Amino acid sequence: MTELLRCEGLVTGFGANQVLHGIDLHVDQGEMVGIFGLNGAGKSVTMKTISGLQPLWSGSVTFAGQRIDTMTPEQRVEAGIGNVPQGRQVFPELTIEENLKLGAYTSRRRDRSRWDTQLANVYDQFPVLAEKRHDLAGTLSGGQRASLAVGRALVNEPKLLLIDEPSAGLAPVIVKELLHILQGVAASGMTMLLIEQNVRFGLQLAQRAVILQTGRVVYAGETATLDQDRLASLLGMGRMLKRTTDDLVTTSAPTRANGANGNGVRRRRRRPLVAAGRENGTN
Amino acid sequence: MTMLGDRPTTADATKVTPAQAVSTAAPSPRHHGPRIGLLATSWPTMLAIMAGLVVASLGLEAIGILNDSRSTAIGRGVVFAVAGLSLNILAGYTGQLSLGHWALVGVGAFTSAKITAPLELRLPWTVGLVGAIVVGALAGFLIGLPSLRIRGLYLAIATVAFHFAMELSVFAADAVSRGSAGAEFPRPYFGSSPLDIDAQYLALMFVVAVAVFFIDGNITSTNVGRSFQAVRADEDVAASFGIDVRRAKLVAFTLSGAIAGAAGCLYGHLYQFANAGAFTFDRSLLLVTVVVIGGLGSRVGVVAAGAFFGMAPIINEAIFGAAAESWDLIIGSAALLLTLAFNPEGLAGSIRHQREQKEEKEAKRLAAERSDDAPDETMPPLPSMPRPTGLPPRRQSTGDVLVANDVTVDFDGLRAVDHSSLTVARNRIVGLIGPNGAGKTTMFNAIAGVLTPTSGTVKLNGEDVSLLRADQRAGLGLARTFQSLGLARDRTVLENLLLAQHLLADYPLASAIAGVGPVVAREAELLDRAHTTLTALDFERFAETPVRNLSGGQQRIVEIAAALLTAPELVMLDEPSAGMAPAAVENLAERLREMRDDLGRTILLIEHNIPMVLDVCDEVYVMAEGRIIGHGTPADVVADPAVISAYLGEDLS
Amino acid sequence: MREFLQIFVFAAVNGTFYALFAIGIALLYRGTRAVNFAVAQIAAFGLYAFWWLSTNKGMPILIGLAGALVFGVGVTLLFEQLIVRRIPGNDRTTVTVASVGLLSFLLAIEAKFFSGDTRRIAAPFESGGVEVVGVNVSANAILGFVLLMAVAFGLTTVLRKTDFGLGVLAVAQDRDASRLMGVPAVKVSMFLWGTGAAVAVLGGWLVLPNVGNLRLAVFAGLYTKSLIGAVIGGLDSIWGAVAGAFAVALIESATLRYISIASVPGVEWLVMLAAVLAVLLIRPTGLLSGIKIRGAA
Repeated sequence: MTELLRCEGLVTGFGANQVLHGIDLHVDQGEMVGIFGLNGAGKSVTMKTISGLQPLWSGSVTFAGQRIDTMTPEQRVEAGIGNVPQGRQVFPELTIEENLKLGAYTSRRRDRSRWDTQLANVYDQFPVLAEKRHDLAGTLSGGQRASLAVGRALVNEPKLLLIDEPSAGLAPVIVKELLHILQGVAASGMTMLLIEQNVRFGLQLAQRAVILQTGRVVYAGETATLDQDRLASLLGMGRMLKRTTDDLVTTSAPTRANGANGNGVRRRRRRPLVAAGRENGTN
Repeated sequence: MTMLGDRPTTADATKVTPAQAVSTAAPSPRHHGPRIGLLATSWPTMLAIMAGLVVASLGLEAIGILNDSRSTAIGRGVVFAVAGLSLNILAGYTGQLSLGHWALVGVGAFTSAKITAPLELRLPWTVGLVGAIVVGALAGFLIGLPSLRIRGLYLAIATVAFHFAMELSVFAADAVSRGSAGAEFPRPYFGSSPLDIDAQYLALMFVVAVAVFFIDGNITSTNVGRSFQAVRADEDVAASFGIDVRRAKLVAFTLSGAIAGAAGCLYGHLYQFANAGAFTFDRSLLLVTVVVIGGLGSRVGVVAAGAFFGMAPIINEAIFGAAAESWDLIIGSAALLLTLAFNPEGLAGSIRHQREQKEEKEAKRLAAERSDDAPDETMPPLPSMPRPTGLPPRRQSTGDVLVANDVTVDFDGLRAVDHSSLTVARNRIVGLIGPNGAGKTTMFNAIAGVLTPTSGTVKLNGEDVSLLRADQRAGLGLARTFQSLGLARDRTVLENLLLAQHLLADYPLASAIAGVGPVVAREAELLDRAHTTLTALDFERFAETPVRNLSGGQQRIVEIAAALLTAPELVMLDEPSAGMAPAAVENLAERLREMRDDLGRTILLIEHNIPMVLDVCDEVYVMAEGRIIGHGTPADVVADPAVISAYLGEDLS
Repeated sequence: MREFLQIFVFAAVNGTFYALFAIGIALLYRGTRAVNFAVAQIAAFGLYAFWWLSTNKGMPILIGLAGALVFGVGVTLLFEQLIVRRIPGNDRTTVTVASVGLLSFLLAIEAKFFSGDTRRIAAPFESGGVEVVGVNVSANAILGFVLLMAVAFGLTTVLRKTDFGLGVLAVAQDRDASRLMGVPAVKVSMFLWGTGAAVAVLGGWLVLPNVGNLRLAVFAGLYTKSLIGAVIGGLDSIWGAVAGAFAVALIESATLRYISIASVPGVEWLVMLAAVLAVLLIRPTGLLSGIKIRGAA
């Protein structure tokens, strides 16, 4: 497994207020890593030091063997980092296709001949975008926006996808849609780094978890081997998560629910928390 | 400010008479920091400075140092300093950019001319000054009216249009300035002789300027200026402290206009002549330069910059010779550009800025030194919130503190809150939980009055407050914190704790401006309460630190303490644990219980830390997709499969 | 009737010139949400280079024009690089105040070094034009209108049809998200400032014969009317700013024709102030702001 991204001793902050206290993490080729933590733990700032929006005080970010921590965000995109910005931010006053063109900004500048293929690939993966290609992005529903935000990052054919709080502010039904989208992307072999406050959502995707607390890594490991009690207490889910996870882990292997759980609420056929659903593939 | 036990308890506070409340809050001498010191001692100090400047002017004139041309030069500096203070109230304190401020100075000038010049009237200069102040205030008020609706740069451009309309039309009208012939400004009389010698008039200008300077000091050290600064920081936060944002803006525009009017009167009678050409747009731009370079919001910096740029043409004439005009503007505007690029806080901010840079460097150095796993708990466990003391009585009421009934909020066709109801009984801690995007904060905002629900009613202490603004609801005892920090970030911790007591600063505007009367005792009381709080939190060392320089957790503590300062009927906390260090989060539950049991507060709590919520709450509401989907004791809620399912999301596979 | 029609002809001519400044204001606001108060003074500054090269040194007009463009755009880009880019968080109010600083600075330089004499520079057309309902519309005004339309169509096309133009629109909506797509925010900023300056220099050259010779703050009144026009039309809409500029010109010429009070000069300014306040009170972001027209930007 080759290493794609390595962050060492990330330290940064605002003014005299230090936010990160030396974060170390790495992402291997083809892997999906999740960064979790409560509000204010430093997840977002960590992501920004990697994408380039937040300058480092000290530490290093190495991407595909190359130090990128002094590059501008634009240069990092060119180097192969794709971003799904916080809150799945799309440009509402531009059309779907224009949004995608912007996503391919650096690759279109290099070689425009591949554009048709790139676009076709994204439309293949997200047929809904093809249907609405000339609509303004502001008119899309929450789930469609999520597709666009992810598609817009993929169209540039990045080596690594940074995904910043994808589920924030989404209704559960759309979170589910988003999960399918991201599982699909993961199934294509894309390397991804995700930060997420919705732990249940994140743990279903990530193979490896990094837990932050007040700017430090306090716990990390394969999601399958994480101690559930410790995870629950670190992420403030406590008894509630504990109850549910016990419940989840002991229930039988998942079948595709597809919303078939009727009134839904009393059904307990849940996917084991720790088994990220790679087998689902694209939906 | 001795022991906490000496104070009436909060429960008692509701029965204390105002007289008692004041008497228990005698100011302690060590609290006389620079700000309040100005207020408490302003009159003698002010009169002494006035007398000193008058004696100096007349004395220097007598020995031949202060000739007419030098006096005029200094006088021009005084005018710009006063006009700078006027613009500073808007641009510096309140955050309203006016680019046509010199036109307000013109309004004052021509008003005074109209009053004092006509031979048949020959009214005294003082009447002219009062007239200039009154008409200036009126003009300021009128410019302020659109500011209630027009914001930011659009308002700034409207003030440009105002300037040109004044300069090219009103000031050039025959009735105002006899066209280009100009208006005459007779010098004031002292006894029966006019102050024909410029140094004599300068002495009089100093008296007015010093009065304005002290009035400005009174504004900033009372709730008048604090409400301006809160409006500048964040209008929603200002309203949460009970500040009527619209009133605050209008007061700022009116005061600014009054002071500009005074500057105009001083200016006109200094040169004894003015036409529209004295009120060109570049002067308005120069005033902006003065205020920005002086350090937006800094009284002393603005006065220094105003005096410098006012006197600059004459200074550089002395240095470069008569032909060398305009260097002042070149230097001034270059300095403005450099200020913006390198030190946006202006000259006055530069000292503080340097200190902060040092702090930042120190933080970086410490960060570099520290080994990765060395414990760095910069924040101790959450301290107990102090009991606010000496509070005025509030109407006693029983029954449910909050009843929100069938609230619906729509944004752009999206239903954020969908027919949700919740009730908070007195002296309880009620939790509101739910996944991200469930509509919890929107519900909070609807209850607090920050946004208007599509439908539904909100009752506070049995009173229907659905039609009231956020500041009015705050006045009825609703206090809240914000997810994104409900404090004025650029102000110090102490200033924020004073700001949070806005509702208790119930002295008249006139008393605040004059710095006499009820304001003195009441401000001492507020300051005392703020210091008591700082001491109880062990935050005395942060009193003068801008809030933005605190860590996230420290900010949170100040915010919660601020929300409790007025002993509110209902405290709404929006994710208090966000950004807190683990040590503080661990005992947050304990502190919340203290607030309920010892301080007698009623709390509505949004929180993501579910174990803590379950631990501390008497009752929990669960929201998902804008609806209340569960309600009961923590035990009930945890057992409700619907809640578990919704809170943790649908079956996601 | 003829006089009534003349009002519209005057308005069309003046509106063209106001719009040439307004378009630069709107373009920058579209992309950065900041207002460039210095744009007209930048034009005047460029024209001093024109005067120096062409009138003073006797070089061809085209060299003079090129010099004006280089100088005007150069000063602007220097300002963008040295000042704007250093402003923390590109705070739009601070950027706007900085443009006020640039305006003061250029005015002061002009007052210091170029005051006194008025300077003449060659107009695009020294004579010619057509008569419309008894009003002579100069060839310069016609050229100005052609330029205005070309610039307005050109900009809206660039903004919609090129990757870079899309980048400009994206930066305006969310600067950080745009950078995360690889859009070079720095180049976008240079484009916005530079284009506004270039259009203003050209517009300034065309309008100069109408206002006389180059002299201190020659475009101050004109610029203010452009600004009022841009606000009335909606600062963030290029076509809105153009329409607003014509509206201001119409208000002006109608006022001058019908409301004339001998003892109160400049009544048109009072009417314009009333108009801008009325529009903003009804629609605080201008009449055409935020109205989505496909193909327009």
